Amino acid sequence: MKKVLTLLKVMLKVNFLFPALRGRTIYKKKERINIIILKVILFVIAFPLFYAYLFIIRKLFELLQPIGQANALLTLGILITQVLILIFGIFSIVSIFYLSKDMELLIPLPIKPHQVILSKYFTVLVNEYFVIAPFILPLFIYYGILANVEVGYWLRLPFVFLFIPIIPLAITSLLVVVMMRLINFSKHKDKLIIIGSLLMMLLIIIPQFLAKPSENSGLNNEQVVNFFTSNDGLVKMIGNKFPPAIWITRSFIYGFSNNAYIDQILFYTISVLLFVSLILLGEKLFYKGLIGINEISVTPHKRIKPLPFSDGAHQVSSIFLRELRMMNRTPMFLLNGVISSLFIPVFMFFIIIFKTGEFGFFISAMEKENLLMTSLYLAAFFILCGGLNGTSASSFSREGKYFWISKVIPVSYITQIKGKFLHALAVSSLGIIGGAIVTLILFKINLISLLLGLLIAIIGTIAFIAIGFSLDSRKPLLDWISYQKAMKQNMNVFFHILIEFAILFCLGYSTVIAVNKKIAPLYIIYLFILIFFILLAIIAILYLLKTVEKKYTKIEI
Amino acid sequence: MIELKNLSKSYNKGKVKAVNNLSLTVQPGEIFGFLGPNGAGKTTTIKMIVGLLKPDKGSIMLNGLCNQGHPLKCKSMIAYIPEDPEIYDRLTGLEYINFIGDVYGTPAKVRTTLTEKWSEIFGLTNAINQSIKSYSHGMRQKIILIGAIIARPEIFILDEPLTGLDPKSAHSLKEIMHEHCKQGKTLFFSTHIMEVAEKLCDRIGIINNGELMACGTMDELKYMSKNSESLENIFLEITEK
Repeated sequence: MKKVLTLLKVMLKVNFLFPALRGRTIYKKKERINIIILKVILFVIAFPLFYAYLFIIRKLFELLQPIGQANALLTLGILITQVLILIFGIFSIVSIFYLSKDMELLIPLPIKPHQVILSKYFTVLVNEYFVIAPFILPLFIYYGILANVEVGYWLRLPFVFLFIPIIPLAITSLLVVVMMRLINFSKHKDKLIIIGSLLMMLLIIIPQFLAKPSENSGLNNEQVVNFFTSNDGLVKMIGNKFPPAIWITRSFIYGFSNNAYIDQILFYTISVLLFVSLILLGEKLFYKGLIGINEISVTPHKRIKPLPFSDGAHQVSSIFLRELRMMNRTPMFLLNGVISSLFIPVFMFFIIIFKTGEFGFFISAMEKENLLMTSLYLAAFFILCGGLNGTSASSFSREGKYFWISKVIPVSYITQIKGKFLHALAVSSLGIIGGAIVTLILFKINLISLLLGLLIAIIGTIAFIAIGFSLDSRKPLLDWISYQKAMKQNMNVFFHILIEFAILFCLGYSTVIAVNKKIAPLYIIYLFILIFFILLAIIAILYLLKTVEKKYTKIEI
Repeated sequence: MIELKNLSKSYNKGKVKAVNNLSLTVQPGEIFGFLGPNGAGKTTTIKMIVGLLKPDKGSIMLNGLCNQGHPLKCKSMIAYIPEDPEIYDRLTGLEYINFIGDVYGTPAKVRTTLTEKWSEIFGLTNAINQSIKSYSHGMRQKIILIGAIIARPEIFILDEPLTGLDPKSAHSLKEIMHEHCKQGKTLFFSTHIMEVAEKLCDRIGIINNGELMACGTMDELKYMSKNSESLENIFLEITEK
């Protein structure tokens, strides 16, 4: 255990002491003030999102409280968090367990595989706490205030928070350990890591859609009575797809009373079982899956003549090609970038296909909506499809230790940005096109609505890409040991997504108010949004072009 | 030609002086060896010359151009070989060569001829279409070298270039260095290997604690030193003062 703790201490230092890991940048006094201003702006941007989140919590609480089912709000939050950890934890586990660069140092040390795996598990766990805290803690705290809960609730809150990711992460770890052992048999490891991770995601997602809750189709009288007389009717209905969410909710609400001890026993037993399995399986399979995973098979080539040299591509295309190849051939970058760009359209497709009954109202509403209103809905959807992949906001960070090449080649930083911009636009376009295809297949959408939606989405995406580059060039995370750190655990990507959501939320909220209060006709609102994005794109691009030379120069490696 | 004037660089808000008021000139056609113990400031100096670090004070002139004022022109004159051969591991050797050829504007015919010649000499012909991820440390170093050769630079900057190379490739590299300087071009390299510096360099600079302790031809260094039997003795005498 001492070794696990020592390892954990080192890993936490390496993973979370980010100021020491950043590329060195030199700031003068005036620039430090600008950084503080930027932080204040980010806080201001986060505020409307936070307000909207609390508003939704309050509305749901007011809906559920009269029927005695307010506890379900907690289950919903816990369930969503746990399912997301199950799905996206795959990338973190693969990246930190198997593809992180410290493994070359750890394998030769006299440490047992299960000790390494446990310390890595806890490193990912700590990271998950940072990820889920902004989502789940406001829910717990605001619920406590709204429900005027007893003191015990507040005392249990920190423990509940700490317990949430334990089981889903342990399940994901077990699945990944088995998957990677199988992958290591193959020559095509990189490809199989991508395919395996996607299959695992489907394995987790599809049952969520296929499991038809029996309560939905026909509740018998007894079930209806139980549902309304028990405070946990809805808790059980929501949580039945992942029971640990029910156990945690009931433990949270009731503590040791009201039979919640059974839930606690179940929670602890399953956690211990999963941990023991992880230790046993880790001891047997971890190193077998790990050793050689970074090797690639090489077929000895005979001399190839003539060598396929390029005829001298333009510098912009060279940078574009470099970005494309580096991203598409690095499994974790491909999964987090290109594939996550397609995630929303595909997810949407599954939701609508499998849950047509539940979303029927949404489909008919979309189809009947005014042409311009539909185009605005679509624009927001397409921007989300194209904007959440983090490609632009991690563009410099992804270069990592290879960044020296960008600094020494005789290519102006503006030219480099052009190549990078084209690449980020290509990745985002995949998401937007995916979204458009899904929309065309699923809804009877007017083609003009689609085109009008695409127009705003493309201009908006260009603006957001420019903002992403500005964020990442300001302080790129160049010294990382796991690929996940360069993308999904990169604060630049987080701030970028935050800005996108905040702008979309503010525009959406203003549109709803303008439409409801009939402040302006719809075509004016559409034009306003279009002009807003055009201006945002122009300002963001000009700012990027004006500052990029300075920012590049300041990055020291 | 490389001219460093009063060059200074410090870390940790000025607490650690990596390079302190360093001035030296490397003439065209000259092989200049830069020696110093670990942490003396060799790599920091080299990184400032190639533009990876910005000097706190002083200037760097490359063939008469300031590298801060004309960064692009200066970069197009330089080829840099770093100490750690970290290059895009997801590209193949050939894709890397093409990338370098494209960004330096080397015509396809020239890059084909040079790559075929040097990949043959370095024993990389059969590996050039393979992913760099599969390359050993030495192979990575060789592919960076080939990239540097096809860039056809005026100034070669090499940081510990012989570390990790097999004897045959090290010999070839020395030939490249000689050939480069015969054409009247400049070469600046750092090394720990005294024999190499002694045999290869026209002039040698010895740096310690960020300061240039001695600079000159082998004969000049011997003249400055009490113990002038070998460069190793001179080096030890100067750095242990």
